[in-house]
Amino acid sequence: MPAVDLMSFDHEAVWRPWAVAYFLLVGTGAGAALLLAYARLVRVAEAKGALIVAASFALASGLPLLADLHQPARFMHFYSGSAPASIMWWGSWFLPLFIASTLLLAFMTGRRGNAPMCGGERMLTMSVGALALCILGYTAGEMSVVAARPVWNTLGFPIVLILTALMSGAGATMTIDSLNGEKGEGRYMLVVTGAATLVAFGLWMLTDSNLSTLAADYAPVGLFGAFIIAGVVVPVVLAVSAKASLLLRGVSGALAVFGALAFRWSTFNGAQLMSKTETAFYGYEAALSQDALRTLAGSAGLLILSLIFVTLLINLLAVRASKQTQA
Amino acid sequence: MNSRREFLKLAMAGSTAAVATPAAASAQAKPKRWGMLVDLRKCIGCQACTVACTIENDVPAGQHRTAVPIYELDGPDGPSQAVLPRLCNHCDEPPCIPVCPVNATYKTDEGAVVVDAEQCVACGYCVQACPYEARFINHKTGVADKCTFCVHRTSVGLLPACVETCVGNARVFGDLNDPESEIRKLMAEHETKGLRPEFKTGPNVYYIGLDDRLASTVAVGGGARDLRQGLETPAHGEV
Repeated sequence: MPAVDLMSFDHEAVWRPWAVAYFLLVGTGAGAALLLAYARLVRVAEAKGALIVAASFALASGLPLLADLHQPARFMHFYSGSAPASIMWWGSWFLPLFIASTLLLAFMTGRRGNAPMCGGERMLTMSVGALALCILGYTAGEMSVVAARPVWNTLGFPIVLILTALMSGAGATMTIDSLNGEKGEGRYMLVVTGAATLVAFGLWMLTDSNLSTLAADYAPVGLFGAFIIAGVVVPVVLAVSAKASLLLRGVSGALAVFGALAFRWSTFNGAQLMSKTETAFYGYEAALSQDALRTLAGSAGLLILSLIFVTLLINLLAVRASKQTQA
Repeated sequence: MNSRREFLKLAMAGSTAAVATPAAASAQAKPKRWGMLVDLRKCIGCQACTVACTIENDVPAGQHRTAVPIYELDGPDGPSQAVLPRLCNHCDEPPCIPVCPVNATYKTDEGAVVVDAEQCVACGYCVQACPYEARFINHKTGVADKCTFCVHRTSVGLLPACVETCVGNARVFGDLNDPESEIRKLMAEHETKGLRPEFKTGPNVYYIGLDDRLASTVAVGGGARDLRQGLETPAHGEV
């Protein structure tokens, strides 16, 4: 029989919705970077859409991360000493390297125009893929090592976090390619990672009582409706049936990004509202929801600016390279 | 002899000895290791410690370095009230320290876990890692905050504010390395328990009279939190 709390104290969530935005953006960027590396190095395809997504999502991810620091002006403290026991410290090195390398790759791609990829660009593509793996590894590891958060401290959480990042990267690439009027890359990757997400999430739900408690008591709509149905099942079905339709590809991709957002929103906020000391949920959901609009609007605006910047960078450099070739 | 008198006498004796024969004192001195013992039989849940800590450390409203949740537990003789003063456990293996990406949190030589407020970037990773929910981002300072065992007081021979103010002498603070300290004597005389043993953090806050139902995650329902959140509260017999 449970105890009755006559006097109890709630604790607010310390990672605000900016953290959700950061993990979505950087995960999507890393997923697209891996798709880019695979397409370029294995399939010998240009994969321009994946490059745009990788560079622009990576570029946009930095600001939400700073916004979630309560002392953003002190970010240089990450680099003034070493803390190798902290996965977050490793991430503070991976992130700028990932952003810089994807932007440099976009620059090199634009500058060569229609010319074949040189050895340096091939090496950089491999580096971008390796850094994407580091990003996925550090983001999943950083959260799953927190033993005090039982929903995160499982085998299922990092697996689904990585799978949804890959799915979102493929989905964002499909959407950008559709907007550019191209079939592009990502459909196969979305289907495979989406199906794997369904299996992994299902097994995790069956074996982890903390997740089932979270899903039943805090986020049934978020986890089952928004994430599984709208964010995984529907985009996978659309992607399977959208061999020729650019519209369906674009919608499928956008829904996959939404699925990754829904998963992060539900598990990041839900886990933080689960008391560590009592079997209770803290009453700070309203505060998180109030932050949500500001966070989503800010992150979306930043992402659009990044997409415009990266697209212009590649296209303007390509035009210049084309003129130089003709001259 | 209560804990306050003993602490002051020891502190005064220590400082006198140090002045008289500093070399001999330093040669014989064992390093201190601060710990706290909470005698739950004496705690009445008055929250004087909560208030004293808040005032002493200028903790913002709604946030706490220490607090005393109060529960109603069922027992063989019917329901009874149980209190559980919570604070940082100043663990031997604190999970908050290795996660810090800027080395802002560390243990003092006396074993207190503290935060360098000038170094902290307030990423909140330590808040996530603490299984005792003893950390928070201070709304006034904007950096990670927690109980320091009132390091600014203990370093000059005073007791932590919560110990000083405890009306029932339920909180006993002292040197765990000193077998003659009151805390060590009480620990020798009574069975003590720590919170969250499953995390193997080596807490240095001990409890006398801790109900096993409160030692780890406390199963709660139908109480004050449900009322605050406007949840439907079942009748008492159904809880």
